[in-house]
Amino acid sequence: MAVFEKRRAMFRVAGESVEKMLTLDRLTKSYDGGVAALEELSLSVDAGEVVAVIGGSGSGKTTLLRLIAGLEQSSAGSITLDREAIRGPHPAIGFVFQEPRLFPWLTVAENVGFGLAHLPSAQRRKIVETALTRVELGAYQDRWPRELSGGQAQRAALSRALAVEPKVLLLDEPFSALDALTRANLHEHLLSLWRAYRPTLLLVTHDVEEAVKLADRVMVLQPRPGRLFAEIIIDLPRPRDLLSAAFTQAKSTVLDALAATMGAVRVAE
Amino acid sequence: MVELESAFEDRRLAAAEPAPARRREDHAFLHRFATHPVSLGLILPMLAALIYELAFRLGLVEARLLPAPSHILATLYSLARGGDLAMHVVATSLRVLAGFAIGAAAGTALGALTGSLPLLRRLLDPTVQALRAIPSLAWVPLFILWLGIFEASKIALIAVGVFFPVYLGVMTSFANVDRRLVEVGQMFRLSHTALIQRILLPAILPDYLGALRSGLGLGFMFVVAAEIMGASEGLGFLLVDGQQLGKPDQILAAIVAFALIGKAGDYLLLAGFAPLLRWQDSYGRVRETTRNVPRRGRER
Repeated sequence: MAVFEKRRAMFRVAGESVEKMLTLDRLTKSYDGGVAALEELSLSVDAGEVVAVIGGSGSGKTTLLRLIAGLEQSSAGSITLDREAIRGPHPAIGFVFQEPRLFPWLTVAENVGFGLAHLPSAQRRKIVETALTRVELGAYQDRWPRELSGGQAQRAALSRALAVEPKVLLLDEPFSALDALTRANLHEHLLSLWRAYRPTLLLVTHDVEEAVKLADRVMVLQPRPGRLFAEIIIDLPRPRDLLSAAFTQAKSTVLDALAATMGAVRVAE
Repeated sequence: MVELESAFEDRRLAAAEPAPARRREDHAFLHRFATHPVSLGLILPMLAALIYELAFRLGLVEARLLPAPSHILATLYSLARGGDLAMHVVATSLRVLAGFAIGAAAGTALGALTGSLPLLRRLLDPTVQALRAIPSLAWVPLFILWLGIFEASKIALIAVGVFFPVYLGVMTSFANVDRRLVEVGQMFRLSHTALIQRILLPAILPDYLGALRSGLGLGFMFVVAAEIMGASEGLGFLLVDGQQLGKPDQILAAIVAFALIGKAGDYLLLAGFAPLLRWQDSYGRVRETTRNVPRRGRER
């Protein structure tokens, strides 16, 4: 952990020599007759980096994820994953939705193993068991999704997306429907999964604290048309102390940027 | 914090487990009667038969055209003893089974195609709907010309009857499947066939069962039509035979037999689907399943 952080810092000094995992080049999405949902957005993300995307409604943050996921087609621009141009859903890109979206007719274990149907069942069972244990759902593998709480279901969904070991995991406000305690719990789970699988994370959120707590970098988008407004690097060691002055300051910076995108001046606290 | 939440959820789930059987045993018999799938449903027909029998014994009704329940039972019994009843029931059941299998398979396949591929729906569905508008009995002369007067034409007629409700059910429920679940499948890059098998079909299973049930119902309707038009065995033949020989008790016996095997077929369909639908968390299910259903075991 500490070693990784140090290495990371070294790479930074050495002029961003870390391999780019995901590169967006002037990505644009406009729907018929409307303002562009996303206009010329360029972004590149390192392998294993955690990037949070934050913005008000209409800033195109969900559209951004859906374009990368291949669930929607861009109007212009390009998406490159590890030097490969992306046009549709890609096996190395996973998605965790706002809702768990578990298949109600499959048990928890079957849901988690959904993307592993091509593997022999013994191997699949092993991977599923590991994945479920990592999110502390080992005891729930034979339950139906309806028997899970909201937090458990979202943990199972995380586990399902990560079981196939994607290089990039896209998260579309996955914790927004959870209560504060469960959300904090899920943050810990996400970080420990990130340490286990080392995926590149692209997290869309509207929660400033969540963004600053989890991400290496926060991209602030402005609405109508959706554009990149500011990029804030969160250079704080993990685990992060939510009460530290540095954390509060980083939060404040993001909040200021976010307020500026909405054309409002933030009232001093 | 992680441990805390899990421990809390463990307890919550434990509390949600069904209460111990102790409370139930207080009213064991009443409970078993009230929750048994058959007993409550029997009350109405039994009561009706009893009242009619009583009316008959008291001489309140004309006996010649509408025989008493006891008379019908006696006829059924004598038919059963001679082995005739079994033969007719088997003949009818086999016809329905064959027609149902063909019609349901075709309806499912075509419904899945038009339901999941908009282009195919626009291409094929108008024609299928036009064919559906034709009263199915209108096909009879053509089927007899094409397939002869024996089994093939009968089974074809039944298959046509079963096909349409199944086709319509599958097609419309596919269109109603939650798009968000389909997107999960897209993220896992499912092929179209895999999408149908692994997401669309399981998702519509409850509606599919409904479509199959109405299909089976129509199958029984058309087997009667087919057998009335010419057969030497089958419950439909018993009907015609009873009419020609002026034996209303035989007609009614055949009708009772129809009701019984129709109900049995429907029950088998429901029972066959029950293990596949245990995941459901719906109003009807909660009301019906007061018994503790064992959780699905580890399958893989």
